[in-house]
Amino acid sequence: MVQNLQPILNVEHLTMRFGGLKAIDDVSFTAYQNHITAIIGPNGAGKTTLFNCLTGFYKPTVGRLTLCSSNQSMLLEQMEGFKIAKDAKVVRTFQNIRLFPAMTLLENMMVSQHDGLMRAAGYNLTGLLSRTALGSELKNGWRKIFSKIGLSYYARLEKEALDHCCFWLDQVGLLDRADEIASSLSYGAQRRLEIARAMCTRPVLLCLDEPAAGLNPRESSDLNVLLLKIRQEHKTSILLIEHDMDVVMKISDQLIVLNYGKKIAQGTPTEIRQNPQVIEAYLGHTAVQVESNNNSGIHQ
Amino acid sequence: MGYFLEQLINGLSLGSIYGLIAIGYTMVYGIIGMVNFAHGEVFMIGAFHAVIAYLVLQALGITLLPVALIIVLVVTIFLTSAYGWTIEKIAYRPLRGSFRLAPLISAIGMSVLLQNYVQLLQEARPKSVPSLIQGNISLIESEDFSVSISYLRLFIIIATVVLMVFFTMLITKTALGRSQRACEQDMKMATLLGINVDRVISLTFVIGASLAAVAGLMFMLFYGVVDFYMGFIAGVKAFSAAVLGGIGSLPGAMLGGILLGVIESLFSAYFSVEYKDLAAFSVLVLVLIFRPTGLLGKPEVEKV
Repeated sequence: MVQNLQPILNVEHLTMRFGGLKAIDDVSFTAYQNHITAIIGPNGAGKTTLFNCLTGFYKPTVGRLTLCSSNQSMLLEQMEGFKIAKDAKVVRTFQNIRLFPAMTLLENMMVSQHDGLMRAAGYNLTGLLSRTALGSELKNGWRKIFSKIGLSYYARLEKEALDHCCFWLDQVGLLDRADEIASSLSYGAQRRLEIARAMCTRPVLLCLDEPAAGLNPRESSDLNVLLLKIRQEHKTSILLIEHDMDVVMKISDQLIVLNYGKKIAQGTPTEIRQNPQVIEAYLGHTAVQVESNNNSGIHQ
Repeated sequence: MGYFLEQLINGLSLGSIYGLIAIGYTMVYGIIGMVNFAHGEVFMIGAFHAVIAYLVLQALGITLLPVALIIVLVVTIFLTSAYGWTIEKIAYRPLRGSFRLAPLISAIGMSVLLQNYVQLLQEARPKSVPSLIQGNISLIESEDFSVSISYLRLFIIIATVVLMVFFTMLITKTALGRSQRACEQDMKMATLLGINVDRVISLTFVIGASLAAVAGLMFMLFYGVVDFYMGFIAGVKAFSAAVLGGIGSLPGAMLGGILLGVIESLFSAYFSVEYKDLAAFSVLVLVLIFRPTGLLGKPEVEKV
């Protein structure tokens, strides 16, 4: 890809140790803006641990995680958990979906809009007043009074937030089910909802942990389309953990291969497919010889 | 018949007070999974604030009842929520993430501390306030019986209903309510979506404490007597109400409170005043035997 590459995430010498186990061992890489960077590797390679370090679940033992957004760079490893999503705009999804199961789809989405609304509402007291007043018979009179003291601001913000949530629900094809309880959705739909909810926070970096796991072929090709669209239309860079090589090879711009916590390869899908170390990690040592005889890749 | 209805109304107003305190228990349990044993003391402090605020207003010469009540209400809510906020900050937050019993023990310690603190500052003797809201409205007048409701009980019941509507709106319709429910269901995920969980927990304590403050004010109006030990039994009753309704469920807390209040007042009216607590707690035991999650409680959902 010939375009000027701006880094979005710089991982330098990241090491995460659990007692004697090095789950991640001195991993460094750079992910670029508007790229889909896939992280692959066999089970237990440290992929999810890497995500956990990025999003503040774990504090890395060693290393620096720099997020370079538009005009400033932030050190993720030093930020408080909730600020990673709020200020650094890095969000993630989970391998085992984590929705708010007892809330409706729309409420799930609105939670991610929390921050602006909370501030606007002055901790909600005024927001609540303006809300009840807007619904009341005295509509116009009240509205005039509220707009004079700036309370309609909350109502306007809330409408904007609502529109934004509906937009994303629509993008993942769940708008007509907005008022259903999240746990009533099918597995595939829950995955889409989780991605939509993450996108609702207007992230600069979206970390997806096995988004295609458990999806049928049609759902997973829909997912490809969605991810490509997110990258192109919304200027969000994507970091992707995935086992489904079909998804990975088709949509990613750059691959990083981890094995036993170490980075063993980095490159474009074609390069990775032919990398003997990668083939060895996936298929074992003897397979390398067979594979190299056949001179084919690890595709599938 | 008339007697029954009067006792029912009596029970409803007593139950409203229990319910308002119970919400504080149930909300805190819902969000951080701990029983805030100091909540009864927060209620007691609310009642003391109400008494003090009222006496100060009297000394200042503000005797017009509605004005005085509103000022007392605002001052009480404000000061008591400051206590709720501080308690969470110094007694529970540092223990978050430690083993489950640690905040529980800290809560019991806080409860003893607050009792002694009030005892030292305000002396052990009960403080009394003349009954402020007097008069009755006659509801039913017939040849056999008449039912009247005092303005005080009417005030308590109406105030509770208004608070409940306001509170339900807060929880279901606003960003704060949404983030609170989100924290309840999956705190880690809420953090990852940029919600400042610590602040939401603080606000939960503030809301719980302000409802307890209103309950404290109602208690002062209802009985006219406050003392430093009153938080204990009220706290136990309200906690039972929360468990009876299903701990973690907000409508459950209110329902449990009202049930407990009604049972208590009917039992003391028809059987014996001395054993009213026995009746209330027997019902609790019976309900828990047949519905361990409480009346409106949901069975614990396994988090995936």
